[in-house]
Amino acid sequence: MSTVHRTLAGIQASTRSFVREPFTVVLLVVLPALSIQIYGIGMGQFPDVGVFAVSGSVATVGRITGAVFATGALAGVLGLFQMISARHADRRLAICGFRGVELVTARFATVAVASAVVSVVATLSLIVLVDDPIGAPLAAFGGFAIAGAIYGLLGIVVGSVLPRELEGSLLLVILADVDNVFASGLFGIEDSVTQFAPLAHPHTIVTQAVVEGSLATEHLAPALGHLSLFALLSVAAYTYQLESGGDA
Amino acid sequence: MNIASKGDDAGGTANSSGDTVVSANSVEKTYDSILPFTRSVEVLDGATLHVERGQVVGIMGENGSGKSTLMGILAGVLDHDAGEVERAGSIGWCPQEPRLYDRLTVDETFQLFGTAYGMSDDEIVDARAWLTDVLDFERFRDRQIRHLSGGNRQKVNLSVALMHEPDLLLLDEPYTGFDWETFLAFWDLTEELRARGVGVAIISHIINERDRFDVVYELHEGHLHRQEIGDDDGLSSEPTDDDVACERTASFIDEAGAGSGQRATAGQEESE
Repeated sequence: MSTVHRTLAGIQASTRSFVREPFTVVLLVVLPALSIQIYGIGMGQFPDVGVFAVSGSVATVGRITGAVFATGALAGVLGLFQMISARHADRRLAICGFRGVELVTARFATVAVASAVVSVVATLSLIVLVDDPIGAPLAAFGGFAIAGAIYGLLGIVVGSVLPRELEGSLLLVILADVDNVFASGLFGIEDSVTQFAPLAHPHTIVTQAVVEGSLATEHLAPALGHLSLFALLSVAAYTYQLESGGDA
Repeated sequence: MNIASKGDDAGGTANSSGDTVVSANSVEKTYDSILPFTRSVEVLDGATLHVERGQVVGIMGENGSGKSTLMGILAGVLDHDAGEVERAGSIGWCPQEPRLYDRLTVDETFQLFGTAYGMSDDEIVDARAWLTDVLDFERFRDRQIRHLSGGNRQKVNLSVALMHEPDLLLLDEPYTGFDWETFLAFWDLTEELRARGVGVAIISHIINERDRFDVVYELHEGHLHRQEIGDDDGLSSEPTDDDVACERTASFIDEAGAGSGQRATAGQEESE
């Protein structure tokens, strides 16, 4: 039995598990739109000049911030639940013959699919709900995809070391919220601090794509750097929990 | 029936023939705590056990005595701190809690785990047909695991351990939730596997099923006490080779043997 065959079987099984939860699908559709509207309406109460140092209208930046938050939080929670629901079964599958690398690939591919779906929904929601047409929707999708992937991987890390649904979800949502505030640039926090926020660069990519209609190329490398860092962390965390019998 | 007891050979040489499918010698396991003000728990302290081909072995002990830990070590799922574990051939492991993917159907579960075992599609279909027929859950094949009853979930759990026809079966309370018919079907299946030369180790609380075992081990305070079934000499309460008295074992087996339809755990008895 080839590695490719086993890996595909693992991806197929994980993806089926993901789409067979109706509540997850509903949240995927509803939450980004809700978050965009709440942030947009909330920030729209402030004047465009004098309060926040933003490059577009405050309401638009608020909607972008809401979309990035929803993408991160949703992808993170999906990654978390993916880990919690499958950790014991993954261990059994490994005992039955799946190699670690095949399981890691299958699990990560599923998180990538989930993050991509969240990003598509966030992009479409933003296109519909923002006042002006988005200049570079593909670049915006790219920013969301990186944000979603980073938090999906963070969900794997949290699910590996803190395999509890309530505590893990709270941690991820709070992290995404604080990270997003740092990333938004709304409050003039020092760049030397905010550049380390995982969502900072994806947020800028989305903002520039929406407001200026261009790709923020100088933020692409740091964003992918963050992504690589979280990929390494999540592989280490997943491997640890796989070897510890799913009882870490 | 009277049962004889005898201690294990700590060195494990007596049973280390080519027919041994799993051999554990002087295994030790302690769960260390990384948290302050919490204590470590010593679960196994020199546990020794052998399972031969075609042998059905029962492992008994009170709640928390470490039976599932021992099973996990035998299966290679858990690490042990000291001692040796040797396995020969393929293993089927049926954990106490079904470690299955809740949102996959029964068919998809067979397909996924069959793929893990390296079985071809035809072999998976054959194994599925055999086990769903024997354990009577053919009509639930398109149901997701999460929508199955506890008993049917346990049937799938057992089937996943059996589907590749392993040389050694490690079953941790496999008949939890089974109805009477399935319980009997399980033992028919076990007899079939014994005849095929499969070594079977079963964690069980049902003492009055002891006649079905070739050997029974009781796990008490980290030690395993071995009793051959079918010997007329009676169970000795003398200390075994590892200097741990076996009075509890003698007591509960005598009590269980005194009446039928009783279910007992080590040192305790309860009516069904």
